[in-house]
Amino acid sequence: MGMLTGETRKLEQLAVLHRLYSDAPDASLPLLLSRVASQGALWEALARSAQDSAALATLSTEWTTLFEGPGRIAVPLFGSVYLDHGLLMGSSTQEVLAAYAKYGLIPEGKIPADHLAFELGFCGFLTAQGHVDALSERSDFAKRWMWSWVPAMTEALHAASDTPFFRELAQLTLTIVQHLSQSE
Amino acid sequence: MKEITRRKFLVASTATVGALSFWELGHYALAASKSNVTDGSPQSAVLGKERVIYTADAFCASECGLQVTTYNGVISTIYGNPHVPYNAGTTCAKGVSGKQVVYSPYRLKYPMIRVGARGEGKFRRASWEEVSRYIATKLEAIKQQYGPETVIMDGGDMTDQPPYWRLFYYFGSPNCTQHGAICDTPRRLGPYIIEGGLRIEPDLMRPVLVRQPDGSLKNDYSYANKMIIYVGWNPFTATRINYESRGTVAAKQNGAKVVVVDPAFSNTAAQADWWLPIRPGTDADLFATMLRYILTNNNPQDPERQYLDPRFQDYSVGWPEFETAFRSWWTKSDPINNLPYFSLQWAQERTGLAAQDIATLAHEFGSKKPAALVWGMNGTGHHFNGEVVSTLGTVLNVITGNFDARGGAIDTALVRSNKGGNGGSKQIKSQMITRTVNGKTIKGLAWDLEMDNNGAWPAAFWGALGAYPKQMSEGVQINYGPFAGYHYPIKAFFVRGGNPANSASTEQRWAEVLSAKDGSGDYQIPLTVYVDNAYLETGLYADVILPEASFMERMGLSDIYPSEPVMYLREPVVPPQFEAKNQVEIMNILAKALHDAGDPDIQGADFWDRYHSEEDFWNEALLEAPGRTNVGEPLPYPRYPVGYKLLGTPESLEKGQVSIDHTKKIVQGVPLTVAWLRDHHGVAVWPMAWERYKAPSGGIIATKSGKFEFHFGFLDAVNKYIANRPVPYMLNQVGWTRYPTTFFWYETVWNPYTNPAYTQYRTQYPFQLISGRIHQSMSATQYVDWLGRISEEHLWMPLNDAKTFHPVVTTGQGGEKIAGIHHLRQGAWSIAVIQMNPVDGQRLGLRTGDLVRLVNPLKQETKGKVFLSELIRPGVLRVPPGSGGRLTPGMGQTYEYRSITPSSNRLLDPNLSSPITGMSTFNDMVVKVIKI
Ligand code: SF4
Repeated sequence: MGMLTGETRKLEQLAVLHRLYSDAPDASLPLLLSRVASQGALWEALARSAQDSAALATLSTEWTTLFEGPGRIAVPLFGSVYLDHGLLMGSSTQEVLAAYAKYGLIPEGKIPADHLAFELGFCGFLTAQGHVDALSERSDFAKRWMWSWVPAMTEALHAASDTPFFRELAQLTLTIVQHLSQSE
Repeated sequence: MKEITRRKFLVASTATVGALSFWELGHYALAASKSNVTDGSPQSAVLGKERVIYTADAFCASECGLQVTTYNGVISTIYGNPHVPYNAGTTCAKGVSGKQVVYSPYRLKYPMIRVGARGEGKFRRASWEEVSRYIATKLEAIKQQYGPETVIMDGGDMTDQPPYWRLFYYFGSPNCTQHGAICDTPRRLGPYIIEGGLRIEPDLMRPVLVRQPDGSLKNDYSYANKMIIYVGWNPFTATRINYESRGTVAAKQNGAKVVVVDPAFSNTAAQADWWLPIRPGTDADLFATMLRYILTNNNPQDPERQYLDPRFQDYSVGWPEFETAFRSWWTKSDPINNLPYFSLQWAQERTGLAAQDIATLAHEFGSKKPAALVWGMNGTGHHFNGEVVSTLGTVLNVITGNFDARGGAIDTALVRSNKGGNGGSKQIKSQMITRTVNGKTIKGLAWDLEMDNNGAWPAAFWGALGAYPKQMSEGVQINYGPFAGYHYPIKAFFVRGGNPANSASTEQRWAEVLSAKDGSGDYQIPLTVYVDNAYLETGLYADVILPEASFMERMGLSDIYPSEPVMYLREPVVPPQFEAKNQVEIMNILAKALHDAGDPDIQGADFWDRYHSEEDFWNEALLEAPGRTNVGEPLPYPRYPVGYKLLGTPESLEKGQVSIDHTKKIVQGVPLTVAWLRDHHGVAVWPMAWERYKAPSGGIIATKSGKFEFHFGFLDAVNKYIANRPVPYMLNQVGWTRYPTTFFWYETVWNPYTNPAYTQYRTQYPFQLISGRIHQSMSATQYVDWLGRISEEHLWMPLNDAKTFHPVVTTGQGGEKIAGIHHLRQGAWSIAVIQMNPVDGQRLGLRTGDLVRLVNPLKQETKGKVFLSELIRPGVLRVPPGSGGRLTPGMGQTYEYRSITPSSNRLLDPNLSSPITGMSTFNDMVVKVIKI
């Protein structure tokens, strides 16, 4: 991913990825993706897959089924499901919470702290601090609490959907998290 | 944070970090911790420490007391609460599985609105605001156009549903029900009509708190039982009454004789002294023959044959009438075998048990006192003629002097603590309404439109949930009461904590009615709402899904089956996760939305202004605890007058901190509260006594006469109510024109060995199909994976095929597929099987693991794997109810094996329900077996 040239770009990508895991695709998505489309082949492909508004409705339904349910979702987005024997609120969740707390942050609401969107947000927060310590914390965090499970999640996503959008999303997520978890 | 703000931000400046950064926005916002850490938030976990909380389970109707430890705000261990005598520190495997539910990634998390067709399982996430507005708008439109009575509220299988009932009763619908209306009503009929109770259990709960001769109160651990007979009841596997499994063993060690009458050698039978493998559906035959034997051979002069305890007549009405009616059958001969009814020979022919064994059983039951005759939920309560069984069973316990005797048979419904009346029934029973019937304006109570008692089931005292699909498709015809002649459709179905589409009568009928459309292509029932924390079959047909707080996240009160008044608290252990809410919050949110939509019947003073928290609601309910009278031996409180109603904490009653109202006969102590329970290990226990029906001033018997009624006052009153009006259709089916008011008899259905109408099926459909309840495999708990692995009673066995799968995914196109990351080896997972005797297997050339079709004479069928086992009577097939053929991905691995697991609920006769209580014919069917 040579196109990830600066932290500003990284921040932009984290913001979009955060959005992609927070809410089902809707009409706001094409414009959003078009802004990052130039940042690499995977982004471009993703932007293309989300262009068609008829496809958006289908993507939206599939997104909900994959990530939110109801019922036995194929791709849980919580770290502890992969790290703590399939359940929420495991010891890894507590560790993640402690990592946020170190920076005075806490998730709003009642969703466990190790949801991928929170973790991407935290990486965004650290990136925006702009100093070396924060960036090193970012790679430590990503390595320990994201890279440890995100590959399993993206594998599940890849296996659960043959829709190009989700396969591209899986690939993109894997690449970004891998990159985040490399030492600065 | 509002979604719109985030979107605006993202569109405006994807990457530029401005005043609000992307991580501070949306559902997954990170905020500065100081302002957001509260004790009520799961995020407080990192700041927490170890806590012990006393609460109550909700995985089955036992609702055992639990002692839960949290560490850093997260549940760590679960044990039974040793202070609750009901389960005395024990739990079953389900009870310790609470963490698997609360922390399941598959629980319902957000309110959702359907986007596909009903049954397709496609939803989108919505906010509470949006769903409550959606529901309120639809409910108000339905109320305007069709009337509030067209809305059904099913409160499900837990006893903490009163907030929902309250909402719908105030809304104006009399049709609030619960799972008990489908569970085992025939089993409860006998106790209900004879002594006003519901459930007779052996006196086995220990310890019980007993007043000592020196005036002190002490825990009593002794067992006085001499004989316990369990008929179609398997507390060791179907653990419904927690204390019965350990109590049975303890009583047996203490010299009690334990007998199990069951077509299957159940785990309970394995603990018994004697197993009688009866033919399915002939329990009534056995009881009637025991009664005839006892009446014939009773001899007050012979100490060996003093079967009857004549004192029962002092507390009863109508015995001579009952006895005469019963004896009148002795000279009739049964067309199926030309033998006189209820003779030993007759019973031998029909039950498949030896005449001598039946005589011995009757003799021992009559002479070994104290004894208890107990009949079960799915063994007898699920047969069409379970009503005959429970009536005769109650009679046998009463006339032998065992009723409420120490070591005898206790009707737990008559002695449990009261928990109040804030469920709104007073409101619906006092609200005057008008309807136009045949062109005339008629005035009556809203309650007079209740669909069962004024419709096809006037004697179904708990409603006839199994017959709902019929009413849903045909509408409700009011035949009785002021609104007789009125007809209304069912327009909304609101179900919480129940799964009728899988468990209440014929499965395929529920699917049909919930997805039926009218001529213009709209759903016939325009609104279906599903409230739960698990996604089960009924949820597939929902328009709206509401995530309810799990039982570890909400408050409630438990008190169900104890032998003495006991009340224990369900205390929230952790705050609700995601957007789940407790029942009182959901009640208030919907109430507010209805009010805002212009409903004049819903006011803040009855809801959100009255109950600011769930604790307010349950405190109000506790005002009526224990609500039992000061009666029995030894007298619970010798310092208070006999027969006075007791109210207040055990402590205040003990210390005399009371006021006594001699006019109303009430002893009022300090009212029990949630806070008091919290300070006392979560439980209040009041003293035990026996012979509680004998108080001259009125005992525990809850019939109108206050006595055992062998002339059934309740059914007499129903007959008066329906006089000169159409005869309920199921009465016609059994050849009656009115309800029986004393001894009655009718044959069960689909039984070729007892009912001449079905003998024709004997050869072609040679197997009787029955169900065997496996506690840990029931409905919602199947998604707890470790429970799914446990094998049980040759019914729930590791006959899975090897499988590589990922949880099922519904694709955008409405299809589904399985993606592979989990590997399950063959024989590693237990699934529902068809239990068959090896003799039958050999005859059909079948081996364990063979896949077969079960086909009934109605041409319905189901598939499953055979498990050959000596545990079952030849000619009988047994399957776990509701455990196979599951339709929702919420069930996990159970769902993966849906095509090789049987569902007996697909094979019921949808047109028949037991004539008095309207129960589905769960255990009456014959099938043939076809190898695939
Ligand atoms: S018997 Fe029922 S209430 Fe008791 S622990 Fe087991 S599942 Fe829970």
